[in-house]
Amino acid sequence: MTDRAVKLGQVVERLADEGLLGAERAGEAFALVERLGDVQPWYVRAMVGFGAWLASLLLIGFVAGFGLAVGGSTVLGLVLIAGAVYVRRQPQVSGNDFAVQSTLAVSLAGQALFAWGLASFMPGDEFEAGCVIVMVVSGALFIVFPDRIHRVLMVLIATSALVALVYTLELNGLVPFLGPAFAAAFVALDVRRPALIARGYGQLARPLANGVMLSAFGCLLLSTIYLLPELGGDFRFYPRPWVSTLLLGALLLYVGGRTFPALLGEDTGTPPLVWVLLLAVIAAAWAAPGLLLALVVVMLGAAAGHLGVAAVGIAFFAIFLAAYFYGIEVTLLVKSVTLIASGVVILVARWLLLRVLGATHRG
Amino acid sequence: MSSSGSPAAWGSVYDLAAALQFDEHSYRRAVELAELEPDRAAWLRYVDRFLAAVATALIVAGIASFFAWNWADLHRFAKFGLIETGIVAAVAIAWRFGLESVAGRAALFAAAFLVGVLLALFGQVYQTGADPYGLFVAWAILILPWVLIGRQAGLWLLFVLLIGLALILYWIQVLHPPTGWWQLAQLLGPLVWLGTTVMDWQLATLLFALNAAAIVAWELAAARGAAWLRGRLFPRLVGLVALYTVLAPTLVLIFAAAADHRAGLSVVSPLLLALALAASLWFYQYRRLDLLMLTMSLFAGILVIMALAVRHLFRDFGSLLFLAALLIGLVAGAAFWLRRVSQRAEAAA
Repeated sequence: MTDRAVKLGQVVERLADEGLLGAERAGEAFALVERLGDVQPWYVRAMVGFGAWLASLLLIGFVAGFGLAVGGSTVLGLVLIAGAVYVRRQPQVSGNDFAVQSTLAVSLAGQALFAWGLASFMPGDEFEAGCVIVMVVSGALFIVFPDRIHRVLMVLIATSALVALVYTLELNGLVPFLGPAFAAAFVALDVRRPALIARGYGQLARPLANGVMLSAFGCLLLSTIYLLPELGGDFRFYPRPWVSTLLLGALLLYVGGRTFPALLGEDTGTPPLVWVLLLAVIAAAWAAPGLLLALVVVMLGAAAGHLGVAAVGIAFFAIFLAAYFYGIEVTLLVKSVTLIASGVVILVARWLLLRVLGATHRG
Repeated sequence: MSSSGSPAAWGSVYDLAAALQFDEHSYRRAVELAELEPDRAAWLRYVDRFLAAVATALIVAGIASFFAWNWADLHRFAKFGLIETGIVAAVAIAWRFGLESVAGRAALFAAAFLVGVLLALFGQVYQTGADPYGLFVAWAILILPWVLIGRQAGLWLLFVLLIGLALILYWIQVLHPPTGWWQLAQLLGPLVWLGTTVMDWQLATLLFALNAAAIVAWELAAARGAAWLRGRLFPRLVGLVALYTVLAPTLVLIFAAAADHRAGLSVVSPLLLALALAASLWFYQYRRLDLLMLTMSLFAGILVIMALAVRHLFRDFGSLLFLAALLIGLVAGAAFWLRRVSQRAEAAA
């Protein structure tokens, strides 16, 4: 299954030997090791999540068939959500795939019915209030529904509602700030991970981090969308993408500043060369901020040994590159210069880094 | 206990720490003991591979953008000179660093990609009027020697992709120009349009055969122990495409069975799908464990069962409840079975 030589049981044994686990917690830890062996890989969880989403659509169709009144769908939505939360919180449900799936589907169906009822109550000009309610409900469900997939979905729904709210209020100037803000939240959660676990927020921090990371990806992909003036009028879908470049550049410098000293040795600060290289990458990617986000995510994933995050960062890099290539906001010449300049800078950076790190490594 | 536990992957260590609310020191120590954070040698490998791949992707995409821009002020010989210099330089780098090095592999891939840009430039400058399939055939033939000596999945992926594109374009532009309403898909972009070409069962069958043959060849060669064939990217991506070529027409066939929209569809696609699923579930369970391939196969099967159920069992809104329960049951059953397969494999290991 994997080439990783160290087993979780060995880690627990060593922690117990070193006195980092009390006698009672050691027993609990060994019991957990057995359970954690059952954790499904991401693609199985993705299949489960997709199946739940599809099942929720069928459930919504079933309920809609009764021709409920507006108030009825709101109440039924709330009842379904409450029922799903109650069942999912029962300890014995966690090990039952069917029950886990069902509660996920019922909760999503309940939320859709609730949102539908809410939208019907409100006149068209209260869409903003609807977005705020969706954010509040998603936030509450994020906390009370103890399921990782559900929590990631709640973060995505809340951030999508926030983006919709920004566009509805015609605050398009804020859009370039959203992606970097989500990315900053992801970095903060990564940096504060040990402290969050120690304070008992570990179960919430991981899906929150995954959710804001995916939200940042989504926001940056918006920067590649271009509306023809004939269609959009004065509407600017993603004004001033360089704002995102600057903010993500600052984030890249921060992450680089944390990563390289650990890499070069505890007493060594980040060498000026690294700063110069990072600044050169930022300058080269001026028109393509998504490239910087991909680098931030990959760097964090690699530094933490979290290969899943690193792989997602690489996948986003490929997707952003393809979207940027097909976008028509800038000319092909500008794209060409941006892409080649970024590539050459990264190539030079690689050469220099390998020389510096290689020399340090040998030394 | 210690030897039989699950691997100390990032997620397992995190879940353990979160469940037991480790203090900061204990969590950092657990990460250290699990050897999760890369040491300098591992970092060097990351920097070497990742940055080389990223830079190569950016530069070749930039070069493609540059020639697509078709700068009128640049003389055609200058254009040819630029692109040919790029190819020669890439080959020289591959030769200098060797095909086993990351730089050499990235350079050889860049050279293979730039051959296509050169051929596209040739068509752009001289307006040859040749059918586009010719470009992909010529591209595939010209890079074949590099593919054979390159020993890298990326080059083989590019080669299979080019053959597939050539096949699709030859079929559509020369043999059987399509006339159905699928052509409207062109409005949704080239990728969507390419996806709908499998609605012609004969073309879908040929594409399935091409991709299936590529996987079989890869797995057979991998079983003989070649180190560079250990990676799973090639069989997984090609497997996904192979599955799609028979799954999409099967699903459309199920829903269009009573409508008059099945002109290009045939029962051959569902038969091939059944064959592919059976082979995949057997091979990737017993011969070469790959949970991702098993998941893809199971999910394809679930989609077909659900399509059949919707097609034949949907009577009124009440039946949607049964369909939802069926879907949940199928997915939960699949997840349960995958867990069992994984546990069995770990116990055997």
